[in-house]
Amino acid sequence: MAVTKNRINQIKAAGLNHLWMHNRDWIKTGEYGGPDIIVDANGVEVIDIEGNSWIDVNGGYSSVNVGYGRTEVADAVKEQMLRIPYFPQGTTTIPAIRLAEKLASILPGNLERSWLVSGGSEANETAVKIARSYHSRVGENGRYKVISRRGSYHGATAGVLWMGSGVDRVDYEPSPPGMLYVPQPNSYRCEFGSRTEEECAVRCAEAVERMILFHGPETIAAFIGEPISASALAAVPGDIYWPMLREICQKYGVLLIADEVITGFGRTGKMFASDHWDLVPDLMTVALWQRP
Amino acid sequence: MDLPKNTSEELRRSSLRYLWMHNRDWTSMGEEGDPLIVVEGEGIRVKDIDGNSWIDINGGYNSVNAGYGRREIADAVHKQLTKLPYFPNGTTTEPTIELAQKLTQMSPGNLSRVFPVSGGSEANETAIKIVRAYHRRRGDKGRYKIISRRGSYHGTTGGVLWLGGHVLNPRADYEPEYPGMLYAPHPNSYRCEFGEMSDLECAIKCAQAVEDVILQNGPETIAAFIGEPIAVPAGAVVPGDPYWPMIRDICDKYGVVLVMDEVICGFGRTGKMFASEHWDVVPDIMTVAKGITSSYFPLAATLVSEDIADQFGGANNYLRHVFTSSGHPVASAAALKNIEIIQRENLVENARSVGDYLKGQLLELMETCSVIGDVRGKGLLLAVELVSDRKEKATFPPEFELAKRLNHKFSREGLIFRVGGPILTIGPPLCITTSEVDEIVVILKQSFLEIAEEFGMAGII
Repeated sequence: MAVTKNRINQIKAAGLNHLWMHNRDWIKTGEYGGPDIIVDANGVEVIDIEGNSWIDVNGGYSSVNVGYGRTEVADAVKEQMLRIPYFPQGTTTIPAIRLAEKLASILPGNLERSWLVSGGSEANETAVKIARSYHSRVGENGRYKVISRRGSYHGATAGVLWMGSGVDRVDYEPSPPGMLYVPQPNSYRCEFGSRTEEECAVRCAEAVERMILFHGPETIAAFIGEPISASALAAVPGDIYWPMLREICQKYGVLLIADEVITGFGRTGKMFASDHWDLVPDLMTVALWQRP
Repeated sequence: MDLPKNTSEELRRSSLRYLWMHNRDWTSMGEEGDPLIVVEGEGIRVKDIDGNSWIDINGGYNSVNAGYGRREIADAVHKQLTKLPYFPNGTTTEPTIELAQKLTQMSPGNLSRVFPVSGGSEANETAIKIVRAYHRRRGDKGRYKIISRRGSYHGTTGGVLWLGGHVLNPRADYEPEYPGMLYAPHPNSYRCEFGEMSDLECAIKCAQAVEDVILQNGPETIAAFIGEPIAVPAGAVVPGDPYWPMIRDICDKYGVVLVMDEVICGFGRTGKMFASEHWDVVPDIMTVAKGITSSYFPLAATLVSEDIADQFGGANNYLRHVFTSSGHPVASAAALKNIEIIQRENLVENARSVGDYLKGQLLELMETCSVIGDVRGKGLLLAVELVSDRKEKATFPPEFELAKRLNHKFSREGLIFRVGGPILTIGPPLCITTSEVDEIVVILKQSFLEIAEEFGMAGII
C-alpha cells in the first residue's frame, strides 16, 4: 500500500515539530526535506517512507550485528512477553538467569556475574560505581579517580560523559572531580610522534603508569578503555598495549574496565575484542541493544 | 552437583552465581531460599516457577500500570519487530514520531518536544544536560547548580545519583560528589524539617526555603530545580497545595528552569494523567518512564517546552547528546499501544476512584492498628508509615527487624511486597479492582496486628 503524499508531509511535519532527534538540528533537517523516515528493513537494506531503498552501512550504531529482519528475535520476544513482560521487585525471571549464564560462558577468563541494564551508558556508569564501591568495601576508600584515553567515548550520562573526550564538554560544565586522561594509542597520529605501532603502544602504556604514580596509586579506582576505540576511528593499538595495561593495573591495584559496547559480540572478528590480546579485564561492559 | 535442568533449584543456583540482582545480596538470598522466579502474569498477579500465585502489590516498580498479561502490547511489539526493529543513524521511524506527537498532545502546557531514551535515570540526566546547555546558549554561562529536595530520588547514574538523597541510596560509596548539587527541605508535613505544623504551613516554609537557597547562592548560578510532584522514597509525600504554585513562581522570578520528574507519577498513577495537573502547574521540562510502556519495554522520555528547545534548533546549534536506544521504534510501538489501553479503559479514573477506596480502607485500618502512624498519597500512589509510638512518631528499634518481619508475613500470605523499613509504598497496577484491594487490605491488617502484638503493645487503641 503506497503511502500518500499527504501522510508523508504530515508525519514529517510532526517529526520536525515534536521529536528531538539526537545530534540533529531540526531547522536544517526541515530545509532539506527531512527527517528521513525508515519503514522497513532486511539484512543491510532499509526502505524509507517514499519507497527508496538504502544500504545502512553502519547497521544502526554499529549495533545491528545480526542484520535487520530476524523474525526469530521477534518471535522470541513475543513469546516471552505473552508469558511475563516484567517482574515484581526482588524477583527474577528465567530469561534473565539464562542470559547471565550464557554471558558467563562466553566472557573471557573468570568474568562471571552480570549486572543487566538497558544501555551502554548505564553499563559503564554501573562499572564505575562498582569499582568505587569495591575499593570502599576492601578498605581503600581513597580510590575514586578514573583514567580514560583522550578520544574515547563511554556514554552520555553525567558520570561517564567526562571519560574520554568524544563529545562537547563545554555545554555541560563543570566536570566532576577525578577524571584523568592519557593518550590514545593511535599510531596514525600518535601524540608522542612515534613512527611504529609498537613504539606508540609502549609510550602510551607507560604514560598510564606515569599518571598513576603522579596521582598516587591509592587514589586511582579504575582505568577504562575500549579495546578498539570507535570514536578514535577504530584505532587498533599495537599488540603490546593491552598486555602492558593489564600488568600496570594489576601492579597498582587499579581495576581494568574493558568497554566492549561497540566491539562486543563478534564485531571485530572475535566474540570480544579483548580476545585478540587474551585480555581478561576486571569488569567488562557490553550493550544488548546489539540485536535487531 | 548437577541439578536437573529448568527446575527451580537449578535456576535459583544459577541466578545466585551469575546474576547481579539489584539491591539484593546473593549470600542472604541463598539462605532465605530466594530469589523467587516468576514465569507468568495477569492483572495484578504473577505465578512463580513452582506454580504458586502471588499478588504483586507494586506492579514491578510502581510501573506496570496496565497490569500483566496485555496481549495487545506483545502483538504490537511483534509487529514492529518484524517490520522494522531499529533504524540507521540519522533517520527516524513512524512510531517514534507518532509517540512524540502523542506525548506532546497529552502533556500539560507547551511541552512540545520529546527526547526519547530508555530509562528514568537517562531521562533525568538528559534534562540536566539540556538545562545547563540551555543557559549557555542564552549567554548565561554561570548557571550550573541544581536544587533538589532531601528525600527525593531521581535515578542512579553519575549525575542524578546526587540529586535528592535518601537513606536507601547511600552516597558514601560513590564520593566525591558531582559539583553544583544544592538541597532544599522536603515538604513532608508528617515529619516537617521546620517542626510540627499543618500541611499548609509546611508547604509554604519549604517553598520559601527554595527561594532562600537561590538567594544564598546567587540566582545567576542556579540552572534548575527538580522534584517529583509526589515523591516516593519518603513515602508518597503529597505537598500542601501552595507548594507547587509557589515553586513555579519562584522559578519564574529567578530564571530557574523547573523540571518535574513524573517517572513514577505519570500515566495516571495519581488519578490524573500527570500529577502536576493536581495543582495546574506546568513545568519547563518533564521526565517520564515506567508507566509509559507499563514496563513491557524499556522506554523513558524528556519532554521540553518550546522556549527551551528553540535554543537548540538551527545554525549547527544542536544538543550533542545521544543514546543508542533513543527513538527506538519497538519501544515506541509498545508505548503507543499501552497509552491506548490506559485511555480506552479509563485507567486514570480507575486509579482515582480505586485509589480513594484503598486510602479509605487504610485510614479505617489506622483506627484500629496503632502501628500505623500516617496514611498519605493520591490515587494509586499511597504510603503507610509505621511507628512504634504514634504520639512520638517513633520508629521501631533496629533490633526489632521490622522489615524482615513484614517481608516474611507478606510472603507467607502470597503478597510480593518487599519493604526496606517503616515506610510502605503502595502503587499497584491501575487496573486493580476494589475486591482485589479488599484482598490486600486483609493481609495488611493481619500483618500490622501481628507486628503490634510482637512488639508487645495492644493493637487496638
